Amino acid sequence: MSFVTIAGFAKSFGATPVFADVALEVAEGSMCILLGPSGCGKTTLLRAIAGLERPDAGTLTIAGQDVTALAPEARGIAMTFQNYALFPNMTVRQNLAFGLQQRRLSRAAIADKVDGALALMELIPRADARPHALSGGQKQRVALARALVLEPRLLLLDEPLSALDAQIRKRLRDELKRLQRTTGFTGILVTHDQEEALILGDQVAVMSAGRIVQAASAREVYDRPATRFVAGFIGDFNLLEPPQIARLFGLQTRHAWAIHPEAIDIASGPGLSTPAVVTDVRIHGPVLRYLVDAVGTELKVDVLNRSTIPALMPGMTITLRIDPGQIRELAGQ
Amino acid sequence: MGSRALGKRVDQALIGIVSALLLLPVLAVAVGALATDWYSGLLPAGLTLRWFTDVLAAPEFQSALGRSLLIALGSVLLQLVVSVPAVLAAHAYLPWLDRWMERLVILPYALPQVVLVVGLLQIYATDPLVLIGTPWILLLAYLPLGFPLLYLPLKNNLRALPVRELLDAGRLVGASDRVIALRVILPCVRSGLLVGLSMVFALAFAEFVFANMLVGGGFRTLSVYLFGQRQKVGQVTAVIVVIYFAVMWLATALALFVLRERRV
Repeated sequence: MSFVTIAGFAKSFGATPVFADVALEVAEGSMCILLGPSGCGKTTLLRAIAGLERPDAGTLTIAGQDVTALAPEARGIAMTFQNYALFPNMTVRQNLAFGLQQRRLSRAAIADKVDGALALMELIPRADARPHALSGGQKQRVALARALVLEPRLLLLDEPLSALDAQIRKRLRDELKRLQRTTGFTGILVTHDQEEALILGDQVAVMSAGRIVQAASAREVYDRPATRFVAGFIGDFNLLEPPQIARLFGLQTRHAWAIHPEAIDIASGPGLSTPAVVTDVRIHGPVLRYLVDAVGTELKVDVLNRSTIPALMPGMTITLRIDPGQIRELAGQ
Repeated sequence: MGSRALGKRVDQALIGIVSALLLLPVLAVAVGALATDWYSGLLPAGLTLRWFTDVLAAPEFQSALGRSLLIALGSVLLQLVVSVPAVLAAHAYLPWLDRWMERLVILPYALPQVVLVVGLLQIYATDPLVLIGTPWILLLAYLPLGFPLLYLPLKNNLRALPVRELLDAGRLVGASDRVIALRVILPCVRSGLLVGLSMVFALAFAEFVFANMLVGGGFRTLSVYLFGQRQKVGQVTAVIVVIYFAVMWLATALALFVLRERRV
């Protein structure tokens, strides 16, 4: 029995469906990622889970309790917003205390919990600052602290890292992962960044046009994308249509193939092989990406960027080898 | 001296000249209020506080000042109770109304005042609300007239706030929209609110056309009283104008003080 269960969720604004037929199960203490391009309905879905939007159909169960009809504050859910939505006129401490005050906790209990959350997020030195004096990363940490101090059963995170610069985003991403592991909160996080999804998610639900097209472990979604859309959105698959497969390897297939760039070896050997010409080299930091032309089909090939391997230059002819076990057949669209 | 430094000097000189030109009439009025007589020469013949004591002691002046203060404070209160909630509600929930407010806000100033006065006279001369000659008609007339003065600065502040998200953040912890409006949104738009209310105060305190035509002798405000004094010695009107300045200055200072005090 999963901790959070969404069944048959649907919502439209007028005649425009936002999401439909959404079903999702989240295990206690795990992080589920809603991944999809902008406009796919993931934020509205998150708001519906929070109770800020009323779904047209479907049920939401948390810890065995049907909360579909409950007001937002009665669900035991906390949420962070894309632009943080911190109360600008309150200090960090007051921001954290506000929710607890609404629950009419005693002054001492509030101070106690707030101090704990401030310490957890390493915000004690900024406790009396106002939001406008904080950096983007600090604002996000305050937003997280403000949500966690409520000890929610479920934490919803709407694009928590998208407003930050690359450096801080990476640091906060790792921090978020550690926080989730140490505090063990159950979370649903919305993002359009596949790397973020794979790193943070125990489960990744890929959304497209208001539907969840695949929900599985990060590993599974990356290794075995269920559809062409997932393959295109997650990872950087080489997508080969049956005619291309026939031309490259002389094989007749019914379905298209998806092959990860790192699953292609630049070497001859057993398995499928084809000659190719290097057209471009790009340095992605730890990996080198070669763009190669294999009998008229452009392929992406990633190799580890090690100085001991001589780099290939554009124009060189090479042999590519693909282990058949690395090929994913795409049955659907 | 670099051309940049020279340019800065020229700027400062220009600002100084313009400031002096703007201050001169104010200064002249202030000196005039203190002059024994000032019929010839660049400077008055002598200085006296007689006009001040005369004006301040006149019961008619005292009641006119009281009426104007009452109307000004009443207008501020009315805007607070009627317009502020309306602007907030339109901003947060009713985008269509918000768009209309934005368009209509110019209307009270686009129409000739005479047209407005005639319109108001017609509306408030017949049932159900016969208010002509009473101070109430002034309060009701100044409500739309003051609305743009409040709306523009308030709306400016609101646009800089993520109001929807703040309301959502409140709802998630069980804080009603009213609580968020009072504890978060209003404190955040305090500066726009105070600027707007100060202008409403200034408008209602000094306005003449409406005060004279809608109420006139029935409820003589300070501006109507001032108009009545125009045939008397110039010093008396100068004293009244100086008192105007003083009240406005005090009101503005008070608004700034409130703003400063709570920002920390």
